Amino acid sequence: MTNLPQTTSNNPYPAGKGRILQHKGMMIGSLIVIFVMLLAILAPLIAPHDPYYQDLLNRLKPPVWDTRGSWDHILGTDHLGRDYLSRLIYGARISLLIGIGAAMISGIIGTFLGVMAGYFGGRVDMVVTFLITVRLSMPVVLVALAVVAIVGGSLQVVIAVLGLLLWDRFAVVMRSSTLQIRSMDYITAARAVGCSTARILMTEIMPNVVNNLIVIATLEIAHAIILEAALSFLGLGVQPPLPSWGLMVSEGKDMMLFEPWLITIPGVALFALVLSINLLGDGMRDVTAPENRN
Amino acid sequence: MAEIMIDAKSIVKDFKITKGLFLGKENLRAVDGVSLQVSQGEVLAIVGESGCGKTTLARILLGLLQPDSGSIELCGSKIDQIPRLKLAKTVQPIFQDPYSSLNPRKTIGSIITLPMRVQGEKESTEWTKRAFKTMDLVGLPSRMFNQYPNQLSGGQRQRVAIARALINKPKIVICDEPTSALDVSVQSQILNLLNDLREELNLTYVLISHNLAVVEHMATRVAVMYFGEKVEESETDKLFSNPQHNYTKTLLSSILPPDPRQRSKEN
Repeated sequence: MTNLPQTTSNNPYPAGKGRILQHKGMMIGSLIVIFVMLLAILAPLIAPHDPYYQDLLNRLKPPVWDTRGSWDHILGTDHLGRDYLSRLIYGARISLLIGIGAAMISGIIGTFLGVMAGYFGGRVDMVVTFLITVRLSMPVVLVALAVVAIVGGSLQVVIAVLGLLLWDRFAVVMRSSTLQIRSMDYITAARAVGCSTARILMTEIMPNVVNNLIVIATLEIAHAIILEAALSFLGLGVQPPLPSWGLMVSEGKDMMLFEPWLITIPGVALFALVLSINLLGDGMRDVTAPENRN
Repeated sequence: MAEIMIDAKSIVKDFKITKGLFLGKENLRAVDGVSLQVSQGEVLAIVGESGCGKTTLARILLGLLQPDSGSIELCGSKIDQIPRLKLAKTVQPIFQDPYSSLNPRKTIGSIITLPMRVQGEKESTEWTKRAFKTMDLVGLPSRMFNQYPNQLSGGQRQRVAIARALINKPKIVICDEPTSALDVSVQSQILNLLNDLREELNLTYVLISHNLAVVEHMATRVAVMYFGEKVEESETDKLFSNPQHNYTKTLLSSILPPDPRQRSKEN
């Protein structure tokens, strides 16, 4: 009786390796995201120049593929002679930091409110729904602009402001998916088995809403990155000389007609990062869903 | 005289229904003064049409809903004075729909062992052994331990639900339409399993059903509910041969005889 019966060594992990590798969108997205993350983490090692060093004699050098370009500055220099590639690499840090930071703050607020509203219903739900409506009636960019104008723009302020403004989608989605799962029999069974409310929320409800959470989180990371770029473009996001992609677009816009690469390069970087985060989110949803598990 | 396991006295449960904006709220009496006594080893069936309060009554007996008035004693102690974990060891449910009663994100193993985990038992080989023993008891092959519910058939899922209900050896099991979501061929298997388990583990059942064939097969006593009230209660044979209340008579006459020739003769 000592040896236990054999169980099938069926992959107990919901996201099987094969399913990840088969998902093309997710592979492309995660490769780009991992690439950008590596750039951000290893920025001091990779960047060919100091992103803050101004070389006024070498202003507005075009990138290497231009006839006037040189390998010394692969992506050229900006209007103050700073190396554009180095600024782009350091800018990845700012974008990712703001995206992930803001999505984490708003994710915690929104998930907490949404799950509470969905699970307890009644008065709790009424209060949360009211808060969501209040939040939805505020225009994000306008409020962010006003707050930053009053408090002063810095990286921390931008993260906090975006984090406190972007929780609405988390709350709405978490509320509706919790509402759906709350009425399932396995929740009643868990209560009958003697589970505490905290345990039900953590082990029965959360695993079933977490794939929605992942999708919303990636959407909101992308959303926060774009909003940061917009705020910086308007001059109220992170302050110069920090190398933010939005700020780079903003600083390059005066030269747009003569030196278009000044805004194309950070623009393409933003586009690629946001697209790949969204691809990754879609892929995560597909891979973790129980439907296609076999 | 066998020990009385469930002693419920005149239970009343109201629900508030919002009639619409500005129209205020209305009371809906789901259970209206129902009294039940179930003794050890009995199978009490509760029958009645949809919406007559059967499931509400089941939830009250499980301690998941508080009745508005009336008292319930399980094994001699009042239900609201039994601590949560002890109550879970006394009475357990089996639900109608095995597709919604198992968490799709958990393996069969972790679903079955959940009651032990909740009771605060330490994870050990003893634990797994008990899980395998219970799986064996309900006729589940142990290789399913690491599978997910969506890899199982309806009958197998219901067996998992039964295993979860029985692993901590409860005294009372409340079966809320345990077979109505299953295939006809699987229904009889599950019913026979429930019958065998009752004898083996000395269980007391409250069986909620609207399938009179199931009731006749399983129950020792039948209570008929109609609009939240218990209109009749008697031994199974007596009820089927000699129904007293008008509603029971209508209910019994709604059973179709399996032989179509006999059916056409009656009409």
